[in-house]
Amino acid sequence: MIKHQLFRGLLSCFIVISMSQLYAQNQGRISGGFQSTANLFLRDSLIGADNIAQYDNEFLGAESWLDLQYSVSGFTAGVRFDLFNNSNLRNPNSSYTDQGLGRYFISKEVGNLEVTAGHIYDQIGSGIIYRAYEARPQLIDNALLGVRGVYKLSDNWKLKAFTGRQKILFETYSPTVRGFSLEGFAQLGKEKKVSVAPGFGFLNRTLSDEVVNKMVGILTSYDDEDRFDLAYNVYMGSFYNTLNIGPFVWYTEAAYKGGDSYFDPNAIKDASKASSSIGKYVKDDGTVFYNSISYAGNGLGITLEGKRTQNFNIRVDPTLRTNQGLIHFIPPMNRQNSYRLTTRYQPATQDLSELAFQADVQYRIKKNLSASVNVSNITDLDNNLLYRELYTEVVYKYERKWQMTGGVQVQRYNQEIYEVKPEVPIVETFVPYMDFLYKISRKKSIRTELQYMSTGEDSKGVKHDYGDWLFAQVELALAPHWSFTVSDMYNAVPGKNSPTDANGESLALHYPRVDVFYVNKSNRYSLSYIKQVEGIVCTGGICRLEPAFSGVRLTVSSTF
Amino acid sequence: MNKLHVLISALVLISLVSCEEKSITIPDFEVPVSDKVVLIEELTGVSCPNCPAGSSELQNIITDFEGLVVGVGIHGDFLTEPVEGHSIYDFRTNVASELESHFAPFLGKPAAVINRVQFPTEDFLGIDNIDLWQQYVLAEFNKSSQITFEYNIDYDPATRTVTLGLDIFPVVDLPGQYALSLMVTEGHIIDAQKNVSEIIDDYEHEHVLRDMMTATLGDPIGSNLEQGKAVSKTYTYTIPESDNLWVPENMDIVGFVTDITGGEEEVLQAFEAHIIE
Repeated sequence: MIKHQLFRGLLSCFIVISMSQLYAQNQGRISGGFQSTANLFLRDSLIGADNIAQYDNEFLGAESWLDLQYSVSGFTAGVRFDLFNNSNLRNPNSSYTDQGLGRYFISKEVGNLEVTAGHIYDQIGSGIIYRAYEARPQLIDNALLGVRGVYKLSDNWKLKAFTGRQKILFETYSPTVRGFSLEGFAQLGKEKKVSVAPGFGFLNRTLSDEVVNKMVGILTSYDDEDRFDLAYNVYMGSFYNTLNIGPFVWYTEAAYKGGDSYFDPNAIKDASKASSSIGKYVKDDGTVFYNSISYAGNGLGITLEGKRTQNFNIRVDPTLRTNQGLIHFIPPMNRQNSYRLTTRYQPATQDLSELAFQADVQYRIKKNLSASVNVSNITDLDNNLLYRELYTEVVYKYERKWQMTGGVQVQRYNQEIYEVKPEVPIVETFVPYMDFLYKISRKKSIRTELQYMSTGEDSKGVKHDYGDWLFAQVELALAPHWSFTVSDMYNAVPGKNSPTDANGESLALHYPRVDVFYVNKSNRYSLSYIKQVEGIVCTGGICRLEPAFSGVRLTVSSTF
Repeated sequence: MNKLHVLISALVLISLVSCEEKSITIPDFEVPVSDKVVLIEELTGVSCPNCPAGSSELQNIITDFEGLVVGVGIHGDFLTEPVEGHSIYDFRTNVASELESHFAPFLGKPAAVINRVQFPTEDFLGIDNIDLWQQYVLAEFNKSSQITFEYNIDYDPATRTVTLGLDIFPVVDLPGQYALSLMVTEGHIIDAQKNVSEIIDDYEHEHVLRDMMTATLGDPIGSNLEQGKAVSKTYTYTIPESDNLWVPENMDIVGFVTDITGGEEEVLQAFEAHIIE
């Protein structure tokens, strides 16, 4: 730990000194960004916003990130300061406070070689075997603290290699990761209308003695029939290619993971003992096959995607759970929606057993009229339905005066799997929605959203989950600085999981929200009063259940 | 791309995949020889779908380490609300709520607090990976026993009063401050429990924390305890009247001494005694 802090300090000093010396010789470019959120927690036990320290005794919390990057003479160096103060980002049910350098790196181009040391964000292919990225809404930041070299073999081919340890907040996990990829690009034929962009990636993770000892301890506690041979290393590889033929694009990726230990929540443990349970570590190979074919031309855009995933859970440390320690990223296979009610139920990518298909068709009927349809279907490999969605959208623009967007969404959502809620039915929803934008003048506009979610009923006539919702929002924009929104999400017909009163009667509650936004150049400020129902928050298929929120939120973001 | 580049790439690839790893031997499980009794406080709840796996693991550890591990199920606030339309009882109590708040934060349930020790490789006191519980219990047996107990329990069925006479013997000199906690637990309670994809109506709840005979974080028993010199305590407790619950035959007293020097509260030794033998 001390060595790690010393290294961080020395590298930071080096970056600052290098920057100042280089600045004296050759003025470079400095860039960065600042993002901050401050929350005032106001307890509301009725909606479930209570029983954590923030509501009981802390009341105020904040998260901040300040990024600075400086580029000069082929050098790029950067640092990021992270702060978490009574934050519920790490764990929605508890409080987290810490601060320090969240990222530091320096890179240099030397001829055909670019070298980077420090915290590195990167991926191989679409990320199926390796992706180091940051998703602040869920506090995912799995940068690699290590070194990377990218060597240009030619104008169109490059070889990349890296090694290091995965970051966790202000420390690193003890296992190590290393990998390389070879990627290229070639145009074929005389007219060069066909191009390929093939790639091959390889990754190796080596467990530390500390993690091996933990795993040995776990396997020692298992019955003989539950035990397996443990290994320090796992190897995985992927092949990927993008083929362009005129208006068609075909992306394909196939990934294979050698035998690795992972936690299977459905496997039965201690079957021979008096007290057996569900969930244990197993060891198996894993595969992912992903294909995406798209066509674009004459106002028509079509994308067809398919994905098959089996036993592809890869972590730096197999004993980690939830979103911790994930090395890879498997692309989601459903539409990334944006309206409040159409995003209420979102499927998290299943990395042990998933078969998913998606079709997306967009067509511009006239210059001012377009329509789109999206269909997705996700099952496990035993053909049990996990998620199904039909989403339609029509956009009509009338001159430059107003624009209307409308459509419907139909969903089937396996709440039992995605939210681990026993004996709940597959949630059925039907959501008609409308978005109307009216430009009062060149600088003033008003936008309204109206959505209704109708949910299915169980055999007793009780509405699924929270039941039916009505959402309405009005937004007044006064360009270029101000905008104001008022919205309410109303539990119009409460369901099985809606809050109840002292007599057990379901309550039809309102979840209002008021926002004020102010934008000045590249600075953006917002002040919001929020009552928010429990729900799923996802970033690219990586999801987590967020508890209800009640309070005031101030955000500041800035880029420079 | 020239031939040298292709050759280098091929060599790197071949060298990485051609290594053969020496296998790791998994030793057989052995019960340690120890005078120490380890306490597991399981943070659990009837509305927690993953908690039956934790209770099962706790039961297996208690069975495997016969007489060396004591378990308590703490039904605090999180995921403890009775299962609507299924539950008969409500296991939530003020002391359970206070203990759960005291042990927070924890990532999720089930989580086990083992001897109230913050293990260096864990982020939280409550360990939510049930597969790790046994090895942390084993780690506690590497510490020597510092206290022994002698106790006597009298139960008066007419008044439902339990009287516990307890002698605490330091095995070594114990400089510092210490506290005694006495928990009242109940087992064999048949009631609903969520379990992954189902609700089990006739689930058998064991080691449920029902009340405490001491303060929630224990009663001080003094400081600078001398080797072999007993600290004697007597406690009485009246078991409430209730249909089907508070059955003395199914109830135990779980006692333990914590080292409260410096604000930490590691459990030095624990015992479990049936109210009616």
